[in-house]
Amino acid sequence: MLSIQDLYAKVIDNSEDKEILKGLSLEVKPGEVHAIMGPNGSGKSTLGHVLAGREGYEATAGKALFEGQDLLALDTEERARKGLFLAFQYPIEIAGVSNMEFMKASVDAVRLAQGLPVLDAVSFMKRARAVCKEVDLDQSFLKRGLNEGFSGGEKKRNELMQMMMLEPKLCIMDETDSGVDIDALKVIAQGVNGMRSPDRSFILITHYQRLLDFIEPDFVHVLANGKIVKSGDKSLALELEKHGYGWIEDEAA
Amino acid sequence: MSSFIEQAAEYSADGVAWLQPFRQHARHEWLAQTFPTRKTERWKYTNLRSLDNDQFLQALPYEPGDYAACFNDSAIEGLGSYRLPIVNGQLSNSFDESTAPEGVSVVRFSDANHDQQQLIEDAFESQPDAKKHLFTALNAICFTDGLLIHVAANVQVEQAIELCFINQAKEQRTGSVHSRVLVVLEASAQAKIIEHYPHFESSVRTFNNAMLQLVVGANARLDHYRLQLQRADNIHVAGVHAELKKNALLQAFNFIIGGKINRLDYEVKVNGEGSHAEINGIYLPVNDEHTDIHTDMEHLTPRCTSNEVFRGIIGDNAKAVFNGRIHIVKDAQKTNAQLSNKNLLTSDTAEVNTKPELEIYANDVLCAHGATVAQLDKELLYYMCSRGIDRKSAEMMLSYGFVNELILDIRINAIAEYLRPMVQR
Repeated sequence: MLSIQDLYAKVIDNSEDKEILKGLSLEVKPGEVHAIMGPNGSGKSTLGHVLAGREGYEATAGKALFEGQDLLALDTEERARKGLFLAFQYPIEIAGVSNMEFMKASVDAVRLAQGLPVLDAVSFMKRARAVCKEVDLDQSFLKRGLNEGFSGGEKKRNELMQMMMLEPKLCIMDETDSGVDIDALKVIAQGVNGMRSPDRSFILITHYQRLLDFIEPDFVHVLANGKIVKSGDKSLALELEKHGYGWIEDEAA
Repeated sequence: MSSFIEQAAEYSADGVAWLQPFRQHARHEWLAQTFPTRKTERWKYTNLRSLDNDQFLQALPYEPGDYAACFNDSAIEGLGSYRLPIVNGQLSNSFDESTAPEGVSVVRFSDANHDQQQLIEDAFESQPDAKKHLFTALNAICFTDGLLIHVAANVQVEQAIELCFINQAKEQRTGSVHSRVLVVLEASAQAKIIEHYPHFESSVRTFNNAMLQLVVGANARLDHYRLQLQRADNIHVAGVHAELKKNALLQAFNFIIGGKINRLDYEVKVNGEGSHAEINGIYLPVNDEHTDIHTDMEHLTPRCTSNEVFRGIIGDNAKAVFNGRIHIVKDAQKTNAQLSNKNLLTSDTAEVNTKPELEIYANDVLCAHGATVAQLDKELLYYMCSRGIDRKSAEMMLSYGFVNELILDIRINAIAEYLRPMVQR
C-alpha cells in the first residue's frame, strides 16, 4: 500500500529551510494499522503533510510509493483522488461554504477520478445523513459552514465523517485523539474500527497510548529526530506510556 | 477636461416647463464644476478619462423599438415582479402604467398632477449638490422624462416592483443614458423596489448616469435591490439618495458584477427618530474592470441605527474602491452605526483601496467600522485539495463562501437564486 524508503524532507518556513525527516522508512501493507508515536517535534505531523502534499513540505531525498506509484510527484488533490486521506490535527474553518456542499464537491471529485458514478443529490444526502449519525453529530452540522464554530471534538468527528464519505484506501490520522473527550474518542474509534478492512490501511499519529486502547494497532513505531528508531507491536505503546520516550532516544543515540 | 463640463451642458434636455427652474439651477451648478482628477478627493482612485469622448455625451435617443425580447430574456425566474421597461432611460411609451399594483402610482414626470409635481420638486430641492455628487447635476440637466413611483399610506405592496433598464440603439454606437426615478413611500407603506440593469450582448456602449431617490415615510419599510449587471465597455455612474423618516426602515442590497467603470454613490439621510438603514453589497470586478463604491450614512436624528456590510472579490487586473462615510451630527445621540468592508484579492495584480471615514459630533454613540483586504488562504486551499478538490474549484468555492453569507441574507429567494450562478462563475 505505502512504501516509504529513506525519506528526507524539509519544511520551508519564511524562506528558512528546516530539515525534519531524516531517513524515514516505513512499510504499510493493505489492511494494517500502524501507530506512529514520538515526542513533540520529532516529525510526526510533518510526515502526514509530506504524504498529503502540503505546499512548503518538500521531500529532498528518498521515496514514497503509494500502490507502487511515486506519491511525491502528484498534486495534493491527485493523492486524495487515488485514495489517500489525511485527517488534520487542526481542521480549518471555512465560513460560507456548507459542510454538505464541501463534502459533495469532494466526494464527486474523488469518485469521478476513480471512475465511479457520481452520487445524485438524493442518494448523497441519504448517505451523508447516515454517516453524520454514525459520528454522533447533529444533522444540523451538515448545513453549517465547514467546521465553522465547531468545538475541537466536533471538528475531529467531522474529519471522521469526511473520511467515511470518501472511503479512502489509506487513512492517515494526525492526532485525532488530541483535544477530544472520552466519549468523542470512543465514537472516533468505533468509526475507525468499522472501516477496517483487508484492503484499507491506517496510520495513526498520536502522542498517547489512550487511543490505542480503542483502536488496536498491528504495529507501533517510535519516531524521533526525523526517523523511526524503534518498531514493535502494541506492547511498545504500553512501554512508552510507562517510561516515556527518553530511553528510546538514548538507545537510538 | 473642463471642455467636457461645457460640452455636456450643451446636451441639455427640455422636458416639462415646471421643472425648468431646477434644470437651470443644476446647469449653473454643473458649469461651476471642474472635471475630477486624481486630486479630487471623491474621485481619487477612479479615472474618468474614458468619458472624455464626445460620443458619450450624446444621449441615446429614445426609440420605442422592439425591446420586448431583451425585456423578456432578462426576467428573473420565480420573482413574479411588476416589471417596468425603462428603455434608454425612460419608461417605454407603450407601457400601460395603469396596471400598477393597488395603492401604487407609476407616473411619468411629464404626466404628474399638482400633488405629484410637488413631490418631485421637493426631491429636486433635496438632491445633493454638484460639489458632492457631480453627476447628479448632469443628470438633472440631461434626463428627458423621469418616473415617480408612489406608494400610498398604509399600503403593503406584496409584489416586487422591478425597474428593468434596457439600452438600445439603431445606429448610434455610443451614447449616454440619464435615468431618473423617484420612489416615495408614504407613512406605514411597504414595498420592494428592484433596480435591474441586466447585461445584453450589444454593440452599443453607454455612459449610464442613473439617479434614484428614495423617500421612506414614517413607519414605512422599503427593500431596495440594485442589480448592476451591465458588463463590458459600459460606464455606469449611479447615485442613490435615500431619506428615512421616523421609524422608517430601509434594507438595501447592491450587486455589482463589473463593467469598465462602475461608480455607486449610496447616500442615506437617517432623518427621523427610530429609523434604521441596512445597506449591503457585493462587487466582483474582473479583467480590467473598475468598481468604486462610496456610501454616505448621514445620521441626523437621535436613536437611529445603521449597518453596512460590503464584500468584494477582485480578480485579474481589476480595481475596487470602497469609501464608507459615517457622519453623526451633534443631535444624533444614541446612534448605533456599523460598517464593515472585506475584500478578497484573487490575483497578484488586483487592487483595492478601502477607507472608512468617520465624522462624529455626538458624544453618546456606538460606531464601529472595519475594513480588511485578504488573499486566498493557502491553508484553506490545501485543506480543500487534500479532499480531492482541484485548486481552481477550491479557489472558486472559497471566493463563493466569502460572499455567500450576504447572498444567504437576501430575503427574496428568487433574487438569491438569480445571483448565485454569477457569483460561482
